[in-house]
Amino acid sequence: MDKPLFQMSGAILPMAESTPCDLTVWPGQVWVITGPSGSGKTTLFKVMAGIIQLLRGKIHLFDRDLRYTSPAQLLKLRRRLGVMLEKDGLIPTWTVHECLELPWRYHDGMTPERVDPKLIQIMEDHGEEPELLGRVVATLPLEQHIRVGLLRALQMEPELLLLDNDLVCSLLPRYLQVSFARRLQEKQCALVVRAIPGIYSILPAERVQVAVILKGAVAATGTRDSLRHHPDPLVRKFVERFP
Amino acid sequence: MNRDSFQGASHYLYLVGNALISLFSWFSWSSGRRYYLLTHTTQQIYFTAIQSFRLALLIGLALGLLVVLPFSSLGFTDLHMLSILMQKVLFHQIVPFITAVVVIGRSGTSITSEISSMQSQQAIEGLLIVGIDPHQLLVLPRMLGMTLSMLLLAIWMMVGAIAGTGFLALLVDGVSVTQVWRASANLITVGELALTALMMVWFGVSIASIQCYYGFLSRNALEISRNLPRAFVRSFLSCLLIILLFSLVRYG
Repeated sequence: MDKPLFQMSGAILPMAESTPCDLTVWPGQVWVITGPSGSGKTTLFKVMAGIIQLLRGKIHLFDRDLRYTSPAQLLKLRRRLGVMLEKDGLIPTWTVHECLELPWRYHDGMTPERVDPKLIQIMEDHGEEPELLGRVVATLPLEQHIRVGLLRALQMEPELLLLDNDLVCSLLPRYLQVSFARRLQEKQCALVVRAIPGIYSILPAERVQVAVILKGAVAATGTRDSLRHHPDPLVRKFVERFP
Repeated sequence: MNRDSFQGASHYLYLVGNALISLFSWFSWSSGRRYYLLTHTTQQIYFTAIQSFRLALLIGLALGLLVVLPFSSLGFTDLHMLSILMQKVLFHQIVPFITAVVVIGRSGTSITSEISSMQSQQAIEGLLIVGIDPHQLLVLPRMLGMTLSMLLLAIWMMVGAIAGTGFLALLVDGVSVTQVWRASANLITVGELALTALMMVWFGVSIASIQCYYGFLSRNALEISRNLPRAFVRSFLSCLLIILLFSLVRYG
């Protein structure tokens, strides 16, 4: 039996008016996080990434309790995680090459002879031109920013991918959307993504779980179709936005 | 003193303390961390000291000239007097302070805007996610680079100032350029240089930590435009305070 990749129970997010909530992410699952502006979606992503802590409650990442995890252990756990926050998270004055090689060179002390072929392979696997590696991040157009940000989240072959970015799926060209979805399925990588209608053009609706966040808590979970009959009109409102 | 000042001061102390602790744990660092520290420190020195080499010499030259012009117009021709003037006014006070102002304006603002743009793109959080301490990757090399650059720039500016005093030979009859230069450099001793070097190190640490602090504080374009001048003013005032403290030690 698989163990959950992420689990929080009785969790109170570090924001005003937050009430206890639960969320469990299993391998291969796809979760869409939706809710009004300021409801706590980004806070939830940051909690899941281990950047900020819960006010109260239990939180497990890859079966480890984050409350009792040392920084060194957290670092190891994060290497199994791919994260893209609201912005791309890339250093604007660096080249794409420098941004992507950073974790390998910094932590593993890899030499350029080992890093360069890996980077070129990653670029080719994701349908990107290797010439992109030489570009300075600040000079990239928005679409390429997003694509490089996604590449960075995927480069360590994560088991759990957190995408707190509305633009990821909508800005990817169709052929990349398809290869992205295929990769997720092949690797059994779980995906937690911020509300984007585009996810339904990549994956079948029954594979996608929706979590509606209201006032700093997970107010409802289920598939898009099951939540269309939810008693809370606010929950229905956000689910009905999906195609 | 308000709450922000206390927060700023505590963050400043944290940055300095963190840098010192990091340096002491150098031997336990992985080769990757050492590579980034050395590369970024070298880049900082190149940008701050090497690229400003001509500017520092030129400013030094102008300062030397500025000292000898009133000196000669007031009728002073005593080269020993020139030595004292150079030592007490120029090498102890003006050159270090002007060096600091040049560094704040040229490299300090660049540090603040670079870290601010990283902050606004969530690159700092991106570093934390991949397990990299932004202080070690961004602050420490800038602090080291800035400190070493301050020393180099001060030396170049002093050389420029000594060269600038050579103009006195053109203004006063019977005095050769070498005599003037020798007199200008006459009172420079190892002890004096060490004290000036210590002051430059303190300048470097202060400027780098203050500029980085305001960089980390800026999360969007509006905050960047507010914090850039604040960082400049705080750095300027901190250097003024440091030079006053050193003057009290020297002459008080």
